[in-house]
Amino acid sequence: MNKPPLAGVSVLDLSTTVEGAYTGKLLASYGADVLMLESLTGSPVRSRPPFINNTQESTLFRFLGAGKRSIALDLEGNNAKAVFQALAMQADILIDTRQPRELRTLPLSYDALREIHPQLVMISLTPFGLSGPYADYRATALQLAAAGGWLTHSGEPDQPPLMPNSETLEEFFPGTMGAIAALVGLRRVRNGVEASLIEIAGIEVLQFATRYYETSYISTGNEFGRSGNSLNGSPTYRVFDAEDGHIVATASTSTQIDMLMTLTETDHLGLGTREERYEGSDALIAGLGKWFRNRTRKESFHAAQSWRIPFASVSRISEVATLEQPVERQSFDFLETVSGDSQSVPGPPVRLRAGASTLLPVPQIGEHTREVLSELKLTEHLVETLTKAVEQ
Amino acid sequence: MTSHSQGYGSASIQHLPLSGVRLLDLTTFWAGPIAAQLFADLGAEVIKIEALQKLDPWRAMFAQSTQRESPGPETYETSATFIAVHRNKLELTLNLKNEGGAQAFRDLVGISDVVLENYSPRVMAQFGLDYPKLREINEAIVVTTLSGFGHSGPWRDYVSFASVAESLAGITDLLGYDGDSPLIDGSMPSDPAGGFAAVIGTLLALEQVRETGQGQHVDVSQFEGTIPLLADAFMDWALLGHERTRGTNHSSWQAPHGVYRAAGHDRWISISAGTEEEWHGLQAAIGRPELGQDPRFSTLDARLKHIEELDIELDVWTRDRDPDEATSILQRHGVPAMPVLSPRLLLEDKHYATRGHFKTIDRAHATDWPQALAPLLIDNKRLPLRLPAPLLGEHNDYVLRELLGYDDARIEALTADGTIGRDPAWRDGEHD
Repeated sequence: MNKPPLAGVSVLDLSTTVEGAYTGKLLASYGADVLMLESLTGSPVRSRPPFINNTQESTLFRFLGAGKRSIALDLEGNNAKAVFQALAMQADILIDTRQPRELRTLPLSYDALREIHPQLVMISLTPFGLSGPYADYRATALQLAAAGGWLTHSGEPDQPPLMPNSETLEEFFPGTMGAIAALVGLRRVRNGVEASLIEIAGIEVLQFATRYYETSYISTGNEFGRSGNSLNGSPTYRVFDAEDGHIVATASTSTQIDMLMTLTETDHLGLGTREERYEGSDALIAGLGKWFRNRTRKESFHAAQSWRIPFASVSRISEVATLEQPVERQSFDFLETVSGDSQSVPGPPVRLRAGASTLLPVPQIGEHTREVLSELKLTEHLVETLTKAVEQ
Repeated sequence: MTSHSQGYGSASIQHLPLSGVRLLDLTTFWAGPIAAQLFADLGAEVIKIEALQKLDPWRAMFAQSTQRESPGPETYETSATFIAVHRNKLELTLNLKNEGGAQAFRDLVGISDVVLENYSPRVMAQFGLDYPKLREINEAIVVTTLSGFGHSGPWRDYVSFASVAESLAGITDLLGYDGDSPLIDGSMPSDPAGGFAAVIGTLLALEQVRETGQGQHVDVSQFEGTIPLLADAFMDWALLGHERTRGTNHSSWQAPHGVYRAAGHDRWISISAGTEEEWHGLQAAIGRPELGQDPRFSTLDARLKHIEELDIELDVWTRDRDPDEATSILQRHGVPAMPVLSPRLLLEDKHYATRGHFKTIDRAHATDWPQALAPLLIDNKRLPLRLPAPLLGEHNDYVLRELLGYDDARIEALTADGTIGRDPAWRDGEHD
């Protein structure tokens, strides 16, 4: 059990988007050998702002590129097809993020790849899929959230719909589905089934993941608009001020609500039934608010949780890695910065073995071109020509 | 792998990637069932197990003609959200608190590949059915637990709903209007985040079973499954010391980046321009080439600084325009834009329709309800909607007789003490 689960699996990562790069990143985290095939100017993922001070190095790419290798090629050059074919032949999984309008830049089509390498699992990861009226539309995380059905549920009802200030929150869902597809595709090939192109549309992943509202709409006709600072107006499932920030109470069942009212000494309000709480919700919100306002987030969080009330403090980004649970479980990985200090960076979504690791370095553009080309069965002359192109 | 290659309705699943995998699904609510659903959609034989004495509380969610907190006698088969996340699964009722129920479960573990559960960490141990015990029955069994915070650490027994994981992981602090308090993320992304982490962990563990013949306990924490989703914010903090917080829809590196009012009741359009090319496209699309010359907007830094003034310029263009029409004009000019889709708009959307993302299947209480298919097309084919969401205990016979070979006497005994059955065992007064 000492080998990582994907040891020996070879991935050719053609991603030019964060979604695809995250698929490769996940596979690399679990031991796959992930080779980025980049243009001579580097993958656009490297250009994702913001940048590390005074450099052109993307903060996010420092995460997404970690532990991958890089080969850089002029994909439209004379030898592109031969090299691409050789690279594809030694891969188990290929990740591609081209939308239909960009597919002509792939040196060999998916069909041609299937012909020459029937065991290759090809993952196509695009915002809208390879077909349909929006297939060639452009999208950032914001458009995924808009068309995937997420935006409509966040924000205040009389103000614009909102997305949280993190693009990866949306982009990593399709990226995660890409990794699931890769694992499933590998299994299928190992079961002796040939060749598959697994197509993933980002908006469909978001919709599938959170379709509570579309499903409730079909049966109730209620669209449940933006939730604001509560769940459907619930007095006990909402954000409150705390002495040092905010907390979120999510008491939902009768038992949880009774416990919450006892804890916060709001039980004297006499709001014992659901109907009474609905009628008296302003008084209940005021009573709860007063109790939470005079306590720190931490005090209220542990007090409520010790009563088995689902409850949270609202963490600021700088605080999450310092919370006792992620520290104890080593949920975060580490990064040595240039100045020599250690910073916390997100670990994988699930660890098969306990223990944090150090984030591996990211490769320079084409850092492994010579090494990779010499592994392929190409003529020495071709290797020289291609390597020179990178060095220029 | 265990030797079973046939499953319920096996002819229709042979070509699917996870055919031959059997998964026992003890999960409730959304995060766990959506993980099991991906296995079912991909061809695994997924057996959902519920006790008649304690049905999945999700059955009450949006159940018909009721606002109950827990499922009542006439409504437990009518929840659209329950039905949505249980298609392609089989259903067995089993009370694990009874020795007969626990034994049937142990017998099933002997012929299964995966157990998936989302109880609090102590529950399966109380049943005597935690990983060490199940491993004695089947050393290849993969037991995936999906809990709020994982099976170790000071918060292991803490209770988590989606908004709890989102708040602790940092999502909530990133959501809100500039200068205002944080808001609830209504799309509740940490539920599927936990579910998908469980799928990944389980598939990886199955890979290791193939190599070594040994199963393992996969300890998934919904909180930990949510943290990596904010990688951009965490990396900015780690490498720049810049802490992201909420600020309407504004981005630190794209301008414009916002949601603008469009013509129609509560209609909105999202527009973003991160590159110079997109910014030029945007000027052309809205017929305002002079904006590029305006010193407030001529560079990205200037636009970021004057973002509110830029938003006003865009709002003038969008507010009386049909959002679909505006989207197609912007997209023709290479500008990322999409209308904000409400549930109704999404279900009516032509792109989802053309791609066949929704399908219907006959099912009591749910005829004509569109079901979203898994978002994976294999060789251009959707994963099939093979079975409607099962009725309570619908496959008791298949599981107990065909899979376990139980005889009439044994099944009668299990029925007599309420271990199995087809009708919920309501406690007196519970649903008044």
